[in-house]
Parts: sequence; structure tokens; C-alpha cells
Amino acid sequence: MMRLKERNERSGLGLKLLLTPEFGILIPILIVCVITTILKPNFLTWKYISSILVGSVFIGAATMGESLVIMAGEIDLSVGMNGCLAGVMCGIAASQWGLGLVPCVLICLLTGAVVGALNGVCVCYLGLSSWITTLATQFICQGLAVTISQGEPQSIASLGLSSVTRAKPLGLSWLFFVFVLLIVLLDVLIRRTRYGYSLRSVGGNQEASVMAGLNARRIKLIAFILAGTFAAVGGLFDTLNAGAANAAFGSGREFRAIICCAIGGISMTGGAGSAFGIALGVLLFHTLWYCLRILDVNTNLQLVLIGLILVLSVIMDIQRKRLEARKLV
Amino acid sequence: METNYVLEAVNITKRFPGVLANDAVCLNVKYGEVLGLIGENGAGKSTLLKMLNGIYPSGSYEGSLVLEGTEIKPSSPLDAIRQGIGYVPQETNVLKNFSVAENIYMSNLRLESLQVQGRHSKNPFVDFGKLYQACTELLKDNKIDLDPKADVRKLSVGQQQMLMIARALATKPKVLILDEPTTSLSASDVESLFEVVRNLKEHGTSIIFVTHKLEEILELTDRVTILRDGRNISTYKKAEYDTMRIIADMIGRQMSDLYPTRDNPVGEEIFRVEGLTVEHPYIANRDLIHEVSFSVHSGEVLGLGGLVGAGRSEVCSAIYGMMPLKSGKIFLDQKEIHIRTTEDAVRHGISMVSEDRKRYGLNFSWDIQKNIVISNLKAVSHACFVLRQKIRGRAEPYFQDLRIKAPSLNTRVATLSGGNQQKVVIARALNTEPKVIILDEPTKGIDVGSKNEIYQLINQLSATGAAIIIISSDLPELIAMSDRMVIMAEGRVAGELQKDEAKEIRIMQLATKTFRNEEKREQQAAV
Repeated sequence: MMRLKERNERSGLGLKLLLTPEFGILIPILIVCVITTILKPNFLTWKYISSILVGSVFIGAATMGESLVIMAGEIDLSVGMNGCLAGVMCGIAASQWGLGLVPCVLICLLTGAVVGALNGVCVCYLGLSSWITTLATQFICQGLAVTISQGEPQSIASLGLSSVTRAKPLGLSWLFFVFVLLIVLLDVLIRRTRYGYSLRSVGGNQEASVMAGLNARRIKLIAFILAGTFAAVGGLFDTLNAGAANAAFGSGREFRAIICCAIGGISMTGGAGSAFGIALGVLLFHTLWYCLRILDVNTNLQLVLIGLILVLSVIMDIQRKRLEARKLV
Repeated sequence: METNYVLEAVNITKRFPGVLANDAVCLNVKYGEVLGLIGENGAGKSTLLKMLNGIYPSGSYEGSLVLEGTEIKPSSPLDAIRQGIGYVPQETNVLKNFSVAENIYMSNLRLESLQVQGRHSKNPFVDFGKLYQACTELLKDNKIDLDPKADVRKLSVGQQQMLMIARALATKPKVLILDEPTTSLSASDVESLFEVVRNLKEHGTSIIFVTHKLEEILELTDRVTILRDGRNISTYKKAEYDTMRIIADMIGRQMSDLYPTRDNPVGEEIFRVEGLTVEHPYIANRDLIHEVSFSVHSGEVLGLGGLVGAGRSEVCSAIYGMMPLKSGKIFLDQKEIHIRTTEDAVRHGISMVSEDRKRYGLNFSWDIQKNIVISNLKAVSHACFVLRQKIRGRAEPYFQDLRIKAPSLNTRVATLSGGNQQKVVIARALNTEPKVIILDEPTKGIDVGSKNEIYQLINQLSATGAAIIIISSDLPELIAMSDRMVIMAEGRVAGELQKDEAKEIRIMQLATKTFRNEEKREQQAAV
């Protein structure tokens, strides 16, 4: 064991990367890609790859928020509908109130943050279960989104963004670059800031963190607010991409976000995770989903396969933790 | 093979990767005797017990177990129970939603083992009449004072411990293993536990009694086996008991004195509470703690004494911002401060080490250094960014000063022994540079060597002028370590004792004081 350790230290970045939990996600991504390429030889073209990359940002944004709440040891089931409501608010602000781009975006993000804060206050200060609270806000958001939009798509054409959204720097939608930027910011937040340490500490052992003088309630509240804001970013992406807000966007996204977190190595009991893992988790999930679609796999069978992947990823996570624990003895 | 042993463990060797946890350990228990098993944390006691009760299945270790002359190979805890080895773990794990009787017979609700052979009941329903009857008899036979129908949630820790023992006894074990049963018990609970053990012994059950407390060995056991570093060191008969020799065998060196002396002067008053009152969270018109007042001076160690449940921990939790105050004031350096959260407390320079190490202790998936610095991230950050290179530098002095035994600062705390985990918890509390330190049962469940180190640490802290409040159920420890004592009973201050008047009898008198008359008067006044 000692020898292994020495070797690890000597071999530098390459092998270290190979041993990280995140790397484990790359392998299934590659397997999925290889199988798809065999069945559909023109798969490995920029057209498909860019489509996968861009397509993953919508779930990706929601997953980023979800991961923070899960790291704090709670769950947020409202990220999908919260994003939907935020998108609708953005659409309403543009089409009916005639506001400009900046106020629209701000209204969108603020909506998400307010819903997140509502979740946070109920869970952290009123002592409700996060499952129940966020399930309730999911319904509230869904109902509000449909009511406010009256079931109609709310066009954002008045913002005059159509030329911008259609622009494709490097052959990718600019939404993708925003997403990459957000992932980098999230990585800094989780790994480098005082808040990130506090968040992981509270998720790891809340009572111990309270004893250490951390304000667990406030830390969790902030996680919920951030989750709401990231959810709103997801809704904003939807709206910008489609050119209109629609109350049908984002349904079921919360569960996909939770799956992406699980695949991406976010500990379901709280306390551990990385932004890099989240990005790869989202990528794996979306690649799989996309490949199944272009291979014309039956929709119902798709669900079965995605379910299996989820179980497999969790099994792998448990096995890795066991291996790690054994190495420590 | 000698027949006067009921259980023999012969040359047990258990290896973990890189660690030899048990090295040819032998243990034998005579019929109807109480065998003490003592040793520091990490001496291999728990490992040995886990093999006896089947948690480490037969085959995962070398050596053999012999029960009443025949070799047994317990493959699981259930198997060990069937063979006749009962085990009561250190931590109580009762089923809180069930009654006492249901807890005791949970694995055997149809009482099959009690029925006459060949008359197996096919009734799929639980016969509660019979269940309660069987339970009542069991409790009566063993002189355990519990109500079979009682709600387990309402039981005290001591009663829960008795329940655990009753549960083990329901399987009619030949050998009963009690793993540090007294760790969380008050003096009176310990006394009733001893009664139960003596009664069992009279009825022929053999008992392995694992403990850290020497007095218990001296008082209760017939023989004692001492383990150190996974090896048998010695076994003494009752007639040969000698405290110093047992301690020396345990720690592998002579210890001059368990309680080091302290001679630093006591300075100005720096901390004071006045009329601290906390309402009972569930029962109306009752206070958990009522009008508690005391003060602590710089360089002074104040002992909070009293029985378990007297409200000592609650006082500290209230000061530390973990319980809302109904009334009362807290003064630091003669200025009133308001504490609503633990964050406020830490900011004002108050730090606390909780008695429940498992629950309030550490982030077990983290390493030592992160667990230490988490209490004061400001000290290792610039603006809102944590500087990773500073973490090590911040944690290192505490790691050295507290003599935490671990390969490095990067060792995960889950792999440390109890004593070393406790040191990490203390290091984390000290990392906030507190003026007032509250230590709630700081030496609970840790070995003599580590205890001594923690006492020395307390003395060093008080020499730097910190005010220390210490809670302890271990009376000799409390008397030796504190300069002054505040004894609590029923959530109130029963009296204050200076060091020279602190005798165990005096403390117990105060600790068992009742305030029923005062309560009545207050209630009448309120009406």
C-alpha cells in the first residue's frame, strides 16, 4: 500500500486524475459514445457533439443548484417548476410589461431566488421537511406559471435577441459558454470559499458544525436561495433558446437534476461533491439520453435504461467509498 | 480441557490491513463470575468482543472459541446469541417507537423460545397479554425496575441501558458481555446496574464487564484481564487488586498521578450568568433549568456537578446558544452579551466541547486538519476565500500540542480512536481562541492515558488565563480538577462548594436535593 502511495505521488497529475471519482464518469460516457458510433457511424461529427454539449446546459443549470442543496444534506424538488415560473416571469416582463433585457433577466433570477428563499425559510427556520416543502413549492410554481401565462407562450421577441441567440461562436450556442463560466464559478464557490467549506461541513455533520460555531440555518438558507437562482438560470436558458417562455418547460427536471447529482458523485447524504463532477454527470446523462433518441430507442425503454444507469452509478459510488475506506485502515 | 471455564478464547489473532488488532489474546470466563476487561482505547477490547459476539464472523481471525467445552464458530451476532453469548453494546440502540416489552422481545414476539417444545404457535398475531406477562417475569427475576408497557422515548439513559441488558437477558445467555455500560450513567444508575449484575452472578450467569473505570473493576469484578496493544498483559484475582499496578499495566508505564496539580492564580471575573431559565420544550409551565446563576474567573476551573438530568448540559447549551433562553442574562467582561446562535457564542469568545462525541463531534468524512480549522475559517482565509496552504499551518500547532496520535494531519478522523477524536474536538474548540471554554464530560469513554493528557491540557489552558467550565459525572475527576464547584439538582443550583469543602458526600447531598417545596410555592405565587 505504501508503495502504491509513493507511485501515486511520483506519477503526477495524469494518474491522480485517473483515480479521481469524477474520472469514473468519463468511462461510461465513452462507452455510450462508442456504442452509438458503431450503430450510427456518423455520430462522431461536430453536429451531434455540439448538439449534446449545448443541449446539456438546461438540465445543467438546475443540477448546479440542486447539488448545493444536496451537499447541505437536503433536497429540492422545486428546481424544475421554479425555473419554469422564473422563465414565465421573464416572458411576461418582456411581452406584457415591455421591459428591457437587463430588468427581464433580473426579474427572472429574483423570482427563482425568492422561491428558493421560501423553501429555505420553511426548511431551516420553521423546521419543515425539505421533501414536503419543495414538493409544495413545486406545485405552487407550476400553478402560478400556468395562471400567469394563461397557458400561452410569452414571446421575448421584444428584447431583440434573436440575432444574438442565433449567433454560434465556435459552432456552439453562447449559452454553453455561460454554462461553462457558471461551472467554473461554482467550482470556486465549493472548493475555495469560506461558504463552500461551511456548506460541506454542515452537510457532513450538521450538529458538529453547529458546535463548531457555524450558523447551519443561514448556510442552508443560502444554499436554497442559490438553488432557486440556478433553477431560474435554467428557465432563462429555456426562454432565450426558444424565444418564448412556456409554462410547459422544465417539467420533471428536478428528478433529472437529482439523477445528474447522483451520477456526478454528489454524496446523497450531504457533505461532498465537486463542480467538475456535476458537469460530467450532466454530460453523461444528456449524452445517454441524446444517443438513445438518435438511435430511435423506444421512449419507454429509454426510461428503463436511464433508471439502470442511475442505479449503476450509485453502486459504483458506494464501491468506490468502500475501496477508499479500506485503503485508509 | 478444564471444565470450570464457561467461555474460553484461545490464542485469538485478528489482523486488519497494516494493523495487528489482537495478537494471540486469551480470555477465559469462569462459571458465575464477573470478569473485568480493561485497557486503553485501541488496546483491542472492542475487536475481541466483536469476535465473541459474531460481528467478525468465525474464519476472519485465527484462534478458537470454546463454550462449555465445545468449540463454537459464531458466524453472526444472531448466531452468537443462539449459542449463548449475549452482548450489550456501549451505545444504547433502543427502538424508540415501541414499548419496553416489545423492545425486549422484538426478535421473538411470539415467544417461541419460551414455549414448550413441539407446541409451536401458528397464530400470526402477537399475544400482548402473554408478552407483557413474560416481560414482567423477566424484569422481576433480574430485579430490573422497568414497566413493560412504558414508552421507551420517556426512559432516561440509565433506564435505556437497563432495557438493553434485559433484551440480552431475554435470550438466556450463558455469558453476558457488557461493553462499557456505565459511560453515560449517573451514580445512582450505576448502583442499580451493579445490583442487576450481582443478581445475575448469583443465578450463575457469567459476565464480561468492560470498562475504563478502575473503581468499577475494584468494586464489582472477581478477576480482571488487562489488554494493551492487542496483547494480554496480565490477569489478577480480586485479592491481588492494586490500583497502581493495574494502571501501570494498562498504559505500559508508571503514571505519577492521574490528576496533575495546578497552581496558577485565579484572576478577575470574566464570565457570569444571572437567573438563566430555559423552558421545557414539551411540558408546559416547567423549566428545564430555573434561575441558574454563577460566575467564572480568569484562570479558574469551575466544576458543574450533579446527577445526570440535573440540567448541567442544558445550562451549557443555553449559554452556547443552542437553546433559547426564557429569561436571564449573560455577562462577559462585565458587559451583557446576547447569544442566539452558536455563531454568536463563538464570536464572543465562548467555545464548547459537547459530551456526545458521535452526534456533535466531528465530520467523519474529513481529515484532521479540516475538522480543526472549520470552527474558525476566518483565520485561514483572505476575504471570502479559504487559502489551502494556511490550513495546515493553522492546524499543526494544535495537532502537536494536543499530541493527537495519527500518521498526519491528513488522516481521516473516522480512523482515530475515541481519545484522539476527542482531542480533535478540543482542538477545534481551541481554534476559536476562546476566553471561556465549556467542557461537557471531556473524558467520557476515553482511556486513562488520554484522560491524563486532557487534564494537563486543562491546566495549560487555565494558566493562559482562560475561564473553564467543566461538567463531569466522575466525582473524583470533578473534585480534583475544579477550583470551585456549582452543584445542580432538578435544574437549579443546589449549592456552591470551594475546593477545600468539596467532599463526595457533600456533593451527593447537594446533588440529591429536591426543590418540590420551592416549586409549589412558586406555582402558588404565580396563581
